Amino acid sequence: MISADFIRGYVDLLVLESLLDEPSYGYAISKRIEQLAQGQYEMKETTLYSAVRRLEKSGAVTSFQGTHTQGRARTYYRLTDAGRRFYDEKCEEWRQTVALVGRFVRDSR
Amino acid sequence: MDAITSYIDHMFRSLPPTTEVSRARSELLQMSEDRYRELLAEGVSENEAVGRVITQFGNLDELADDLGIRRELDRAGSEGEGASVEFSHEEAEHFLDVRRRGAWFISAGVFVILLGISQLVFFAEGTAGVDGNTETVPLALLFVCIAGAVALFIVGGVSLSRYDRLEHKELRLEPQVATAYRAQREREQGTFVALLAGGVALIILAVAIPAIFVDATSGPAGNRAVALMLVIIAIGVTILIQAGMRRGALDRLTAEGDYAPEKRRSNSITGRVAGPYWMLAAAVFLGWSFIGDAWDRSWMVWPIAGILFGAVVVTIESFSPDKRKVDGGR
Repeated sequence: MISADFIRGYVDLLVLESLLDEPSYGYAISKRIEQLAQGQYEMKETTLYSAVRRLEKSGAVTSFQGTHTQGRARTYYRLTDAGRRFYDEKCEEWRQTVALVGRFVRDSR
Repeated sequence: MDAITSYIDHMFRSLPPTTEVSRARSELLQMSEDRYRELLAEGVSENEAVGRVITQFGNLDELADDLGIRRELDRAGSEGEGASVEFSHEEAEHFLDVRRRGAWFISAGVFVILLGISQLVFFAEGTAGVDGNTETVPLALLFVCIAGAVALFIVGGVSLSRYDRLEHKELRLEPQVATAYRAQREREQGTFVALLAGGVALIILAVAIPAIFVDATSGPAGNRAVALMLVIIAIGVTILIQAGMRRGALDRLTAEGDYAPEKRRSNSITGRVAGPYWMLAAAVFLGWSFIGDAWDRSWMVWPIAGILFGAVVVTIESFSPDKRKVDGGR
């Protein structure tokens, strides 16, 4: 299990990734993250909602009312162009972070 | 499912009903519902599913800044039990009783002061005090009246402050009790407006009395006119205090949507202001009369104080009660 504190700076990246291919809604995003996390990290609902709402306010995603396959109404979130650029920036930031921290990590052998 | 709904309701119940908050609530509820259904479909037991949904729910603290509810959350946290207090029907009735008694004490206090002044003016001979000789007995009587009024204000103030500990909290009534009080408030709306208008009208009429006898204001007839004016002002003021405080108490009971503490504090303001206000008026009157040796003119303090008081009460009552309806719709 990776601690929530460690992921904190990358919650946005996780959420944006779930929206790259198609618009999605709350629980579906949560499930997508759960699958990719493979049990190593669990995102709380409030963390997810807070991220989505923040991204919506900053214009990275837009929301619309859609209908789920089973006929129930859901708020769907769609990635905007700005959101895509933001995702790329976060990915680049992550690569640099990995590279930076990597320079301090010695092989323990 | 009910367990999850009530869990989320509980988390949100001390928060203001803004669109941002209700949106967060419905989105979070939707997510939890979806998760719950899926867990059940996977064959997880109901109890287990509820437990897992609640574990994964998280903490509203994370949403505080995004929802603009940081203040409310912090307040709820710092007060332990929360920003609200359970209030039973009996407690609510008791609260109204205590407020009613407080209103009587305070309006009686004001009445006694004005009566004291009235008899002083009434018994003043001719153009009172021109020779510096005001009767000793009426003056002594006035001070007895003021002392009595102070005692009444203290008793009334104590009964008002009995509920001070609840001042910044939301009173939570059972739904049907709250509805009953809201209906009662609606029913009393007409009476309340009539009393307010009647009180103000009485004061204005009272002020007209010396004006009618204006040519006589210097003689004993003038004194009697002023004395009569004071008695009528006293009646008008009593009506205003009673109406205002009754309304304030009902507002307090029905003001569930009224979250901001500044707004809540405006309740019962009429009752709190009345005592000091009329004491001050008496002080100004006596100060001006004695120091300025202006017994022939100083009665003017009363019509001014009366009309000003009417203005204050009407202002308080038209601004404090229903403001939340405007805010709530945001």
